[in-house]
Amino acid sequence: MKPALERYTQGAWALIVNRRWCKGCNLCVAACPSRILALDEMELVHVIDISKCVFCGLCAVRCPDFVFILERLNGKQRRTVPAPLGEG
Amino acid sequence: MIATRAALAAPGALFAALKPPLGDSLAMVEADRCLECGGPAAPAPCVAACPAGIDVPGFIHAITLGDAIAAAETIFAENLLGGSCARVCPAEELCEGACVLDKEGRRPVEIARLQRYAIDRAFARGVKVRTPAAPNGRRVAVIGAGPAGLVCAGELAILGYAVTVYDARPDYGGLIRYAIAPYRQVREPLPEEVARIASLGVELRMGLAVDSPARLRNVEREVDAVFLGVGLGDDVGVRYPGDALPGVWNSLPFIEAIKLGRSPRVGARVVVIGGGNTAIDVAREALRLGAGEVTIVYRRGEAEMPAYPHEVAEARAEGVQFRWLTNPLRFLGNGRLDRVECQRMQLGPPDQGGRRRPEPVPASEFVLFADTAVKALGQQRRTELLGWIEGLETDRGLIVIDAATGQSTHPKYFAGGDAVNGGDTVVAAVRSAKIAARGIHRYLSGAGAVA
Repeated sequence: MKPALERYTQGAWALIVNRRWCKGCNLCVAACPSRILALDEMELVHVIDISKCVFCGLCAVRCPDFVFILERLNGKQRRTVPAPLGEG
Repeated sequence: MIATRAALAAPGALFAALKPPLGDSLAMVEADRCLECGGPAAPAPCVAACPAGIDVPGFIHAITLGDAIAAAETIFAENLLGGSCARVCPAEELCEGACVLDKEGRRPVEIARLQRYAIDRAFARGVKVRTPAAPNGRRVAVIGAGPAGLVCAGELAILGYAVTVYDARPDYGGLIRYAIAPYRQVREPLPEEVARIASLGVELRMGLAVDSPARLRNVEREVDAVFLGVGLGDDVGVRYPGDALPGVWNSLPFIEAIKLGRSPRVGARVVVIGGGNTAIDVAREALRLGAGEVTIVYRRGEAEMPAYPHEVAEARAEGVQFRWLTNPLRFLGNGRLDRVECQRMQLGPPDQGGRRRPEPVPASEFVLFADTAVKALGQQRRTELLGWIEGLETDRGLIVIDAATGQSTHPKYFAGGDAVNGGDTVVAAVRSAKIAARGIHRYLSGAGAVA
């Protein structure tokens, strides 16, 4: 069984999922553009593959129960640029 | 954005932008809609979709802070023609089509208009683009002052190279200047962009054609590498009986005449032949030139049209009519075009390319009345210049390059843009020019051997 509070990280960024507040409504699963959310056997949300998360925050926007928290650096350094063109 | 019939007929409609510029407050409201996606492992979908790799959420974030100059610097860091691309990019197919809001069934962030906003504001305040490195004493020649050539020249100048750009035309910009529909871009902001590229240390020699083997040798002798951004040639030479009648045009001279302020008188009925984006552009221009009835004739079906579906939809909403599965046979008229004889087609078995081959329906000839007909069937590939370079491998008239470096099979020659890809977007040319600039730098600085 997965823990109640999960912290999925991608570099210095994190998506925190408070599964105790999840009621399995599926809204976030439908909202996620990267399709990386699913309900587990307990009908609680979990993250399938954090490496595909684009940190758009739609899960947090859509969740009626405040299950999701996005942690990321703010300001200019918050972003990483994509891999360089070619082998550059 | 769809123009109404009345708006299309209004004076100035020909040059009125499809998407009018955003003001300060609208830009900020629109920028605030951005969710500013993007993690360290998975970039924002808009960034992943941008061939130039612009940090879209980054520049939009700067707009939300009211800092258009920082936004423009973020754009220029990846795309020296960011202002032109903001006007001409098929954003619906690229960044805006990838926006997570679109995936949610909402209106995507208007990235292209925000990009235009940032750059217009920055230009108005006289912002510089980027800072060049100290001269490294090496020289590169760029042939062609279209988007590929301009961007390659600018990126090389930033790396410290002395770059000279040659172009046969009197004005720079290539197809942006001469062939992009005027309701997307006439000329602005090319002069501002090119002035900044020139200020990086790029010398532009306009009106100087490299049109003989001796001239090419003279250019090559003085430099350490050559970038070929020569694009494609004239309209393909598909001939029909009656081609020479006044009123029958090729697409490139037709659009060029409009953009140079010598709009043709198209009359009431216009027939456009072809199924690509240029055919759509010509048809929409014809409406804006006052034609009452504009018909696109294409020998395959709607599903087979190479044009972007959103542009087909916009053209139809503006009143352009479509005759799919129709092929012109000949242009007819007494001293001037007055009708086009056509034939119905049906789709047969797939050809080698996998597209179903259109075949004539017997005894299906009919006539379309037309005061003007424009052939928009694509551009010819160049062969003359390419034949002068020893060892330069081409594939059906396109230059063969190493995709990672832009280097051709002649080590001193690099290439990008339409001359390599056979005709693609401005931003695709920008991407290939950036790759070639890095390839040239690696080749000349010896940093990592180029095979």
